Amino acid sequence: MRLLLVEDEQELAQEIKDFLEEGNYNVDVVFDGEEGYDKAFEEEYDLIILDIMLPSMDGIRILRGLRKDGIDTPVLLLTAKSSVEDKVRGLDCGADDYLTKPFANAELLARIRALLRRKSQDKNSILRISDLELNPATHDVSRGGEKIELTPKEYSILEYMLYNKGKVLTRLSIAEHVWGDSFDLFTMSNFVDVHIKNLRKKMDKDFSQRLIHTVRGIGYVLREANEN
Amino acid sequence: MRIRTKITLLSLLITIFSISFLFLFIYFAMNKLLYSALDRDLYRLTSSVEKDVLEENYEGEYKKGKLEFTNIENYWLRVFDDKREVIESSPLAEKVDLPVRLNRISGKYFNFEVKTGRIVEFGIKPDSKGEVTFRVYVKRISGRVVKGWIVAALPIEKIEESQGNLLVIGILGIIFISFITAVLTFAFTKRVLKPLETIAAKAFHVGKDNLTEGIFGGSGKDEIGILSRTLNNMLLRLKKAFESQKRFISDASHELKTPISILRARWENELDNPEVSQDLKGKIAKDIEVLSKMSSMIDNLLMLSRTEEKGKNLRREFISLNGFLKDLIEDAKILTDLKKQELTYFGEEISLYGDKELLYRLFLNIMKNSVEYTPEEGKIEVCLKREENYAKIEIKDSGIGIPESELPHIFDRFFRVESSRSKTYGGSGLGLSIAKWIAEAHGGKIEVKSKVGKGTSVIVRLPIV
Repeated sequence: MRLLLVEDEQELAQEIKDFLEEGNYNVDVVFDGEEGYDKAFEEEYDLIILDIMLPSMDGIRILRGLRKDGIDTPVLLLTAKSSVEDKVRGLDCGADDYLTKPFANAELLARIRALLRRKSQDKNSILRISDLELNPATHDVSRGGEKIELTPKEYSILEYMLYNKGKVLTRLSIAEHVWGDSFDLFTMSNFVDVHIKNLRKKMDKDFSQRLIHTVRGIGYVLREANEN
Repeated sequence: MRIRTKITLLSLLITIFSISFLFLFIYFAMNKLLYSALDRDLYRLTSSVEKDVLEENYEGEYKKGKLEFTNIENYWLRVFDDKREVIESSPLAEKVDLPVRLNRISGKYFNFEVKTGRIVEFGIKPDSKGEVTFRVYVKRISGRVVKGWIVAALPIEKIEESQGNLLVIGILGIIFISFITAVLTFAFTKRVLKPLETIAAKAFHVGKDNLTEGIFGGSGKDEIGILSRTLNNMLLRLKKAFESQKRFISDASHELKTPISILRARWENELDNPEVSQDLKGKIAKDIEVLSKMSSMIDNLLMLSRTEEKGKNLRREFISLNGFLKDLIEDAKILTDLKKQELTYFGEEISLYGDKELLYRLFLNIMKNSVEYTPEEGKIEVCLKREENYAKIEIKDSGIGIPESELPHIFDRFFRVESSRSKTYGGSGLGLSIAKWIAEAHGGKIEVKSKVGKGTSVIVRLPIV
């Protein structure tokens, strides 16, 4: 998979690139708006990550230009939280998703995977781990063929964990994913703990193989083996 | 006192003063004029009588009763000789006696009051005291035969009458002119000061949210025009100051968030690094939480500083408030369960147009406060009701309450009610300010009632579209 990252903050771009490459994506990084536009126009990417605030040409203009040129590569906008109107404008201009900085790596990965999945031919592709299946299109969840009823929040957490299989997720990143905004740490970690507990009750309790594991002091991880 | 009243009183005072002065001047001038005309008559009369008396008596004895008084019936006239014997007397003098002292006052004009009855044939009407005032002139004569005095006098009731008339006219005039002046001044100042009232009314409504709406009219060249232009300038400068402050906060928060983003991305990468020990990863996770807290505080401050565009930045959608609150109560129960508090909810079906994420924060912030300030096993009730065009959400707790003196400050930024209890939740102190901001951004209101020891009740009203 080839991704284009247009981000003027070089250090941040480097970190994102490192992280995505670890997830087996090929990432081209461009620091300048116009250059990014040219690159997106000339080469073929599976996904473009666009910062909104860019020198020479801002993300919104690049996006508008690309859509005008008939390039419908999925675009994920990176915004500063300060500008809600930027988000709305971005989505109106044809962005597929947006993410506010700073963000958790897991969140970025989940967004990218969801976008790529949506783009790919088989829209009903199912996320699975062991005998657990989740259908992002229908929101159906089942384990061992048996349907599991989840609340919207539990579903959201499980989907997030499935997009980040095997990766340790901090409570913070789970909370940010579900509630959009972080509250104070006490509230947040309690919320996450209780929802995880409920989730476990529904999908792990009656099965010999537990899928959700607690990583002490950090958070939770979804994986098959019972190792630590 | 209002300026209008002041100006009116002042002009009234000036008018009364100057008109009175003018009137007194006229009064005395006219007096003088009248008397001098009278005096001239008396003088002429005495002169002609003197001539007559002296001519008639060029030689020998003076014959009494020689003078004729055909043209001067109304005059009081007597001629005395040196022995003070009356030698001539006009018809009026036959009836009235004027006991003047002859030698002392000769050659002078003076007024002399005398008690007299009504003398119809001469048209003499005494005043209320039964007196009639005469203007008297005494002239010394010294011919060869006759030596003595001519005394001529005229009743001056005509003068007194015109004096009285003048006085009445004057007083009425003063009253009338003062009245007109007062009315005109009052009306005029009202007209002149009207723009001031408009300015005051507009200025009253100028806040930092509507600096542009407060532009005052007034292109006049008078002081009021200058005032309104000055105010306009001031508003413009204020607006610029607010804008630059806003821009500064916006820029500063962006600049602050960039390094936070970099740090977070870096730490997030370290979390995935297998070479990093589990122990260190725990610390990194904590650091990430601190970074996140910093970032959300920057967001909150930025949000609170954006008063002008309140409501413009909302991502509104239709929300079934009942379902939304039920959902929120589920989350809040996690907090109340920790303190074994009882949380109840009752709601009607109401939907409104709002920003879900912000409303969630609004109510959760309030709930968190209630949980924090309510002891274990306390009670929290949430109730959603329709009240006219508003959805009324009341969050009532059985907590420690807020002292009355602190109630006005609870929505202030970084304000915390004084409490010996530790800051369990480590909130930023912005929670309620944010809640208020969100309610107002939705066109709603937030209100707090509290009694120490009994509990607190927060009431949020949001308009239903």
